[in-house]
Amino acid sequence: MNDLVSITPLLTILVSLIATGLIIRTGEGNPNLREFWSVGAGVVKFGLVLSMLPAILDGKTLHYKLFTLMPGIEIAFKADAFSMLFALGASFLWIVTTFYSIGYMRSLNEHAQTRYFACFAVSLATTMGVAFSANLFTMFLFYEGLTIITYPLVYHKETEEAKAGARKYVIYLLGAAKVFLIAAIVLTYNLAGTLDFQKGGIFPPEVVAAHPLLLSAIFLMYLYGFAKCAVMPVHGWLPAAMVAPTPVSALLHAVAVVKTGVFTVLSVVFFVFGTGTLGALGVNTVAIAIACFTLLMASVIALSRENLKARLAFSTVSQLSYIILGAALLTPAAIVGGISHITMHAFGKITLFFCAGSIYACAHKTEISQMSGLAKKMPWTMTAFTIGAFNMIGVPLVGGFVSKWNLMLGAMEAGSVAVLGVLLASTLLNAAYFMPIVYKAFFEKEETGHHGEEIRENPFMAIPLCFTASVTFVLGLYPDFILNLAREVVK
Amino acid sequence: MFDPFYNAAGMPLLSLLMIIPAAGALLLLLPMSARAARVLALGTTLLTALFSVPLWHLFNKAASQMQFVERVTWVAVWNLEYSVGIDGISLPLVLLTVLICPVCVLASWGSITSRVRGYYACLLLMESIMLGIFVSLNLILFFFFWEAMLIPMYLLIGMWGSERGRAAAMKFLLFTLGGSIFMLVGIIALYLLGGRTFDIVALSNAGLPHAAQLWLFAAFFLGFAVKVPVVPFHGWQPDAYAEAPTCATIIMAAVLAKMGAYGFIRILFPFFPDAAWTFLEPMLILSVITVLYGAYCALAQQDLKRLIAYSSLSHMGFILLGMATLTKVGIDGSIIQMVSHGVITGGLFLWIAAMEERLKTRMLADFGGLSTAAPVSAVVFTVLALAATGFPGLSAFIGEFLILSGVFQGHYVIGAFAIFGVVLGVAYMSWACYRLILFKPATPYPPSFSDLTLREVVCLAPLLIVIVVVGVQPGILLDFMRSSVDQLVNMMQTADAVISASGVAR
Repeated sequence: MNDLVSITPLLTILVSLIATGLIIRTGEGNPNLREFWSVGAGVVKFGLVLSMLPAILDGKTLHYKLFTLMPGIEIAFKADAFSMLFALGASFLWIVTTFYSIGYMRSLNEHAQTRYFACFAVSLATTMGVAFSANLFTMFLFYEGLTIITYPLVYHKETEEAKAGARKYVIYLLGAAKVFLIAAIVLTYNLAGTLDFQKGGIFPPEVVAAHPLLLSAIFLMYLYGFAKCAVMPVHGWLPAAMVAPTPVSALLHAVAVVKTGVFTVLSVVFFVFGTGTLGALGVNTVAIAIACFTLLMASVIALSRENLKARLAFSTVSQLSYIILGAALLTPAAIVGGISHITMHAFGKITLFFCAGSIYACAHKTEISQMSGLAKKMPWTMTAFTIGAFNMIGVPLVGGFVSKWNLMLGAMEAGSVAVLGVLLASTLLNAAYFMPIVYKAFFEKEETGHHGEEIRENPFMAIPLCFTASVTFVLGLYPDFILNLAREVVK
Repeated sequence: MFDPFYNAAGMPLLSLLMIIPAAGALLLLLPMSARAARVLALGTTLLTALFSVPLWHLFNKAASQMQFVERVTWVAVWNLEYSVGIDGISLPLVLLTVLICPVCVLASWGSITSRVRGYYACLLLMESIMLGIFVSLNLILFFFFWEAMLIPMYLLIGMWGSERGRAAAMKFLLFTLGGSIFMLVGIIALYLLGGRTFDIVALSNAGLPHAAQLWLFAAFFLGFAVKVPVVPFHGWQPDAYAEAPTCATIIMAAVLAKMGAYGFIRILFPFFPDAAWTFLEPMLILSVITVLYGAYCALAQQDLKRLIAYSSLSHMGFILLGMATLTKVGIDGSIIQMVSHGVITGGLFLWIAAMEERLKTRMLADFGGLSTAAPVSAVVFTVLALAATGFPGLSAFIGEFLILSGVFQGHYVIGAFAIFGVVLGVAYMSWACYRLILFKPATPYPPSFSDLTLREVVCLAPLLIVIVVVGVQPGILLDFMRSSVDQLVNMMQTADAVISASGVAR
């Protein structure tokens, strides 16, 4: 068929593992060389991902099998349109984030930078592992690996607050995975006899007919077990993880880790159950309800958060549920909307986090109330912030609009007025919690003596964040590339 | 019948495996320097390991019957034979034993300074006896080894253990003897009821009357359950593990505990299949209680060695759980888990011993910051801890996965509780990891504190290799086990079908 054997997916994982070794070897002695390894690995990784693109756009799938543990349980990799969409975004943003990290970590004179860059590199390796896994087992392996390796990053500051945050992070993520995922995977294996992903699902029809309730329960176990997708009530780890340095929040807790969560859930929807089976079971309605509840509640909570990063975190919780919602609606347009939102949200949210980090590193502000008049001191940052906010709200011309448009289209296709209402309401809420920040920064007068005299934007941070902001425009104006990849999944 | 020494190896290989360490133990009685004793012990264990290679190599994976069989008439009147042999169930455990023993010798290289010869003689004797248990095809021989094991083990714990070692050794002795008395009664009754034979193969599925099976099952169960141990017969275990010298702890956790589990699968289930089905639910419940109780106690431990001792209890519960499902996957998982738990716990105890040698403490509160103070040891502990919690791609995951797969074939509630045990396992292990590696130590380490030495790394390396290799290629063990496990489960199911058809009330 259209299957090619290619080792490239595995190489994308190995490249940052090799870089990790080099980073640790180089160490604090030569920070420039150390960061060169990070950037170099990022560029090579992105190049490798990109090199797979022509074949994927041709409608082919790349496969590589490393080990067969038992029949149906393998460590194997595949690259298709869906994994490309995720991998392209994550590997590209790693390069940008590395530059940003250099500016951020050095301007704050952070400790343990080697550990930081090393863990960052491994977490990107595991993210690629999730993106390119060809079965549940491989996906679970890298999913767990990602939880463990990001723990030192959340813990980075080593303060009591960081310890508490990191503890919560690891308890939620590991706990949910052990409580729900292992059981779900074992039951899947018992019922389907395999863990290999397959378009349209792996459960034979007679099993679906015989155990409808059990299968519905298994699906919900996946939804909650992959707690990185942060549906309520297992979202608590995400705000807790905000104690991490901002670049970590930006790349991992807006892109890599949380998108791993939705990516895994969506993989379960498409390749373990299949949209047909889910529709027949009717359990997607439960998922829709959970997603709608999460995206409204999280927005309401975001309104009440004064700390900028906390507000962004709850915004992320809410936006992730858009993606789950898109998949759970099961209509083609909704799925395209959900999948494309993975990329659209990634660029928008990373911009917002970059801005928050830049404000913290340059102006030492964390609370929204302190940000009045900040745009005069940090014009680039606040402009980018505004664009990022537009992206979250779904203003036309910016990427977020495209995915939201498709989601609404999908809701109409599904004939669900309620979902449409929820989407509209959440748009209003998004505007309600983002626009006051923009207004404050641009139009309110700076309180006297509030900001220090010497607020200067650091180009190492300003350039990446302006760059990602402009990418959201590009994605809004030319969404075809992303949409085509997304449509490839629905096909 | 056939030539006594005829088998695939063309020589009495299994007997040699037992004789070599025993001979080594005898040689150690000669006067020699401590260093010579160590070298001799290491050489002996390595030679034994070398002689196990043909087992691996010549084993016929397709055959379900005993292989490398040796039979010599012993006491003709009683129908008693010296007979040994292995099948796919015992082979992994034999290999585990010959792997663990050289590691044990190396592990106590520097820490044992008094009565070195005696120590290594006990250790080698233990190896010989443990191998004897796994290869015996005769109940009397099996029981002989079962009891013989107590002597060197008692000496190891009592003489070379910590100051509370004597008491722990006594407790170990009394518990085990208490269990085996019932087993002895069972053996005699079995001899009278089961056609006057001690042959393990002949006694399997011998069609004993249902009522007799129930009683005999209970008697043998007590004998094996103490050794595993299963809650509530576990009282000796944490003390013995904590107070014994390192290598005795490793032997107990890695191999001795497996002998109990092996007893279940080699003797208890095949001898009394009807009773096994009758007691299926109680056994599952007891094992899941062991899982939860062990994990719950581990959560509260301040002493690292006790923590691992309780975690070991919990993992043994898992092994029993898999067996008690009487399904192919469950038993496959249990055997994998036996090997995996053997190497992981062995590794953890080794690691603790290495740290104890440096710091003279094993209290969690005295540790911390190993990621910077001793990065190699931090990495090793993290890998072992991840393995113990069932991280995918490492050996214990395969075991747990298969065991749970077996449990979830019908016993959903039990499965849910077992999953909770896994969660507790993650909790205490990640807590220990956090305390050891990231936490700031209360008192700074002495300047003499160093990372793992080459000898320690050499000790740990084979264990880590097994953890990873079994984790990604469980087939190398599963292939050996398949036909034997299939045969066992088929036999159990036939027995179940027969008894169901006959309509005997359970």
